[in-house]
Amino acid sequence: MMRRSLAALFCIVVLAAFAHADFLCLKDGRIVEGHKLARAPGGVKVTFTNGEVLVPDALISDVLIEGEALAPPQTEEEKAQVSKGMVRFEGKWISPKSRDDLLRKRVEKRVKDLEVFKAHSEWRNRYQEKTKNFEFEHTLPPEVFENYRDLMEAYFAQFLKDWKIQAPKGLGRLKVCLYSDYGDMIQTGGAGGGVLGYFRFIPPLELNFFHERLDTAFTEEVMFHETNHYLQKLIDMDFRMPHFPGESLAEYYGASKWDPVKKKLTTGLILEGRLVEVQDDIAGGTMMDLKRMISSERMYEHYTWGWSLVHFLMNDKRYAAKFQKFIIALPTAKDIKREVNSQNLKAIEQSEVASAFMRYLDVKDDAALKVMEGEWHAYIKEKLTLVTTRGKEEAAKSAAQSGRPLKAKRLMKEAIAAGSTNPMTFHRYADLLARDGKHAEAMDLWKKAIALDPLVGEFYWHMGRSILAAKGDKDEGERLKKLAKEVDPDGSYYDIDIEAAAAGEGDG
Amino acid sequence: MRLVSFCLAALLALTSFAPAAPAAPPVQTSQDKGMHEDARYGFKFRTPKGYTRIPLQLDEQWQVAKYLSERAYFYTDPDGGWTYDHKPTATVIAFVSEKVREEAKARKKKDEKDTDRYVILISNPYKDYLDYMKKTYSGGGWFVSDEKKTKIDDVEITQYEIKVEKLTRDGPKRVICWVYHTPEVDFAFSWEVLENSFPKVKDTIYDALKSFKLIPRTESGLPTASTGETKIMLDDTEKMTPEQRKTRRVQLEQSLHGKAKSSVAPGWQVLQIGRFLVLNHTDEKYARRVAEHAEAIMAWLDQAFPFIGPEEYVRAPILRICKDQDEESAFRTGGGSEYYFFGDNRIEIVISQDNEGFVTGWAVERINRQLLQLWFFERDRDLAVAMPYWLTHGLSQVIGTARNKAGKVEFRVDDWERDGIRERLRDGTFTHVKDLMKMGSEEYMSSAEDFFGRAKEAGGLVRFFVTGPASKNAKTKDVLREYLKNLKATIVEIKEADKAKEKDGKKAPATEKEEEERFKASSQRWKQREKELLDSAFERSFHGWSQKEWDAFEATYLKAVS
Repeated sequence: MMRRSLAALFCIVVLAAFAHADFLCLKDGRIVEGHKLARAPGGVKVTFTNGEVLVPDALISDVLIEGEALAPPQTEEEKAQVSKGMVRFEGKWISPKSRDDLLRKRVEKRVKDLEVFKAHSEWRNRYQEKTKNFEFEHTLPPEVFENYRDLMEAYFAQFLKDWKIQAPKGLGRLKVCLYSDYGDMIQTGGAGGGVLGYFRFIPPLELNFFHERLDTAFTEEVMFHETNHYLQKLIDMDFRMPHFPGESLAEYYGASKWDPVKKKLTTGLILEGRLVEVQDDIAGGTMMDLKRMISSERMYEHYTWGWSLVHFLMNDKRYAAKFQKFIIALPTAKDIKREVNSQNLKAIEQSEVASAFMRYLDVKDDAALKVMEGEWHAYIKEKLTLVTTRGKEEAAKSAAQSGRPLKAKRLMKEAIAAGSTNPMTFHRYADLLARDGKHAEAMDLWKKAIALDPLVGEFYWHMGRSILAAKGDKDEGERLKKLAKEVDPDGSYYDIDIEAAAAGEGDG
Repeated sequence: MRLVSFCLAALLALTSFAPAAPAAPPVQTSQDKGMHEDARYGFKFRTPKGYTRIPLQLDEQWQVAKYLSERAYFYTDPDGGWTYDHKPTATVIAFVSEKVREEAKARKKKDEKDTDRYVILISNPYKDYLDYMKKTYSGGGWFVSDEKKTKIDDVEITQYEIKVEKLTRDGPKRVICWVYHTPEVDFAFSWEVLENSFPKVKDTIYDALKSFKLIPRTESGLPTASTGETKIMLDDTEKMTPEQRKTRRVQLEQSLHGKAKSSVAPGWQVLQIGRFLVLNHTDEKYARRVAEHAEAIMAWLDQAFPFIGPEEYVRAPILRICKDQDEESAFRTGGGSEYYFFGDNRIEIVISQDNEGFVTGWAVERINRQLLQLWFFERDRDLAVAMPYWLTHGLSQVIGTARNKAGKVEFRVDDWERDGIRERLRDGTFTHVKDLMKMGSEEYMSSAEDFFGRAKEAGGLVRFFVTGPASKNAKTKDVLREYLKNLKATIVEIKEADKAKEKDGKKAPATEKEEEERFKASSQRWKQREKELLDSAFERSFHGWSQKEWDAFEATYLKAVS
């Protein structure tokens, strides 16, 4: 398998005399080529026209360096063998010719492997793999993919068991397309901007999502969410689940955790990204009206407030079983009015969903619904809290985007103190400090962000801007901005130049 | 589908700055003896047989030639059973090299700098053909299925084969593109066909691709500025006097008209009918009738709302009439802006002959609505933006049914609107007039059903004011005009109050508590502002109306609409 061969090859360091272009493969699938590489303490140094960048060993899957030299002899024995014209190779002393023949073969194989690795990043050369319930197509490094593969199979089994659903006979495997980044999913998957993943609910059924390398927990959320749409469909293949509760339930399952060692799936955790959105609405003075939410079509809030409602219902003994019964009843129960839609699927109008919701949860009238609304709102305020570092990061990001820099900075500081290793958190915090004119502090944070992931162009670009805004070394500022383009040629943020703002470089 | 919420900074919408992108000079081309020649960019190719040349949008900066097949091909979805038609297209896109762009940019840096002018320079939005595809293609999910390098007549060529497979609008497609690399420009000659029709079309495609040749550039220099960079200048038009604004608009109008005339495609007719510059690719009789009708609509707006921006100059629109819907769709595709956005660089109304009749056809309805939008935005942008939904939808509904009859505008009955109102009355979902007029956008749009239902009600209400019994009653005949005046008065008051607050200055919050309070206030501000506008305009317009009068008004209205 590709994974094993790449891992083994990583141990080989002797490549003298075999000329090939330098090539660096990262564990997350990124590839650096066309730049000179050299080993350095702790990693591999990449030389760009506008500067050098150290990629830490922790990020590297494999590296091929043209004409990399042998280490000089260290011990007396080594010196003696070298004087006889022998070389040590893998614990044995052999002739240089034998070593070179062996190495030539290995390097040739290795170059071929690296070319295959690179080729698989193109959708036309995508990997294809079938498991019990899924048929995967993807462009991820195999070891990254394996996690999602195992997760989805475990999730499939668990959901069917929890909801007592029998998969239809002859169901076949669901095609799952997994892309190496967001841009690839939008391009190849054909989804519009703002879509994080999608499940095609009419034949041919298909699930599409992408791997977010800077936030793999987020990828899992999206995967759990989209897969849940498929699992909801298994209740009745001819039914189109309404936006509420469909999206809200999918979000509830978005917050699941898979323990690969114990092979255990935990569902119904706190979906912190959505909780932050709900908390922001509350801070902005908006509380969601329950009747409005369950009776409105295609509301964005079905993802946010809807998630919190499902969380509340599933965690309240009075409602959990009734809510599950309501979900299962939607496609088939006789007391619910359905019609066949243009896609030839059974569907329910949202007003009918609201009536069914009230009936199945024993909510007698609008007054009783208001009581439930009060309980739900109280649950959000009292029981739902951000529990992880990532939760704090999400809240900080949202606060920064909504014009609350003080809150954002406090939360980012707390996240970093709690051990965040997300380079974007360091970057966002640096950006806020630079806006306050605290360029030196910002610079330290950007350096830390770069240490965590040195191949994100945005970091260099903002460092450059900060230097220019602080009236520092102009050449250095410009160099970093140019380096950003070299490091990340696909970035587009640096192509917009507002001349009016440029006079003061904007940040000040 | 999992969605993410995002707020776009609607720069142009939030400021009173109006973009004033200077129009790039048109590209001169010729099409003789079956060859398409472009002397400015320096290329030619054999025109594919059975293909129609499609004109380029006036603000197009990337496409330099475009053709549409006259023949449609078909795809039947094996799952749904629906059949779709698609006409192959051929497009040449020019990517000026980095070096040429840099030189051009250096020259343009010497540009003038006015106090009230912001210059936004978006350089190189598309790096190459694949980047262009990534950012503009909307025919479905695609990937490069094959890529080869070759050389023909010493020109390096990259040959792309692209497959469009997921979420396609009209069936799986194939894109064949050859990129001809020259030191100054990369020319991408790109074809899009249905996958199942590729075997039938491939000879035509490859013949044209092989015929592509570079020729000496004999006309004015390479249009570097228009192919590597988008420059938007935002002028603070609010600070100008109406006379200054008029001068500015006249200049823009002349520039756009000039550009439209000089870039007209072969087979297209240029007509000046009244204030309209008509670019026509259908029969002249239809074009004249449409333009005369449009003239009557503009005159009606002038006469119906003389108090709105009376000193403002409304630029003469360009009216482009395409042969059919396919031609219109092909015209609209590209890297420029699209659809109903009127700005300094766009006063063009695009329709196509729909052969459904002048009176009942959709084409004229679309013209009317675009004219309404253009007229209001030119006369009073603040008012146009601040209009509540019931008024925007209502005016749009009413103007949509207007038809010119011997120079006089007549309003037809709208069956969709009338039947919709009746249905809502039967269902008990009808919105009372007072509630509709005071309804905020959130409630108005609470569901798709309500949104469309209320649009019908809004149409019925405004029609009642414009042509119904309310237009003949002494008490109500001026209500709509008074409402608009009162809305404007409220806008002015709010703006004045905002200016006064700005003078007081705004200190950044010192604590998180202050920050949260400000965030809360800011989150509510939009709703409050909307409520203020709705309540104030309503109260001023209906001040002193008793419940009895309202009941009588609504009874007459219901009788008229049901």
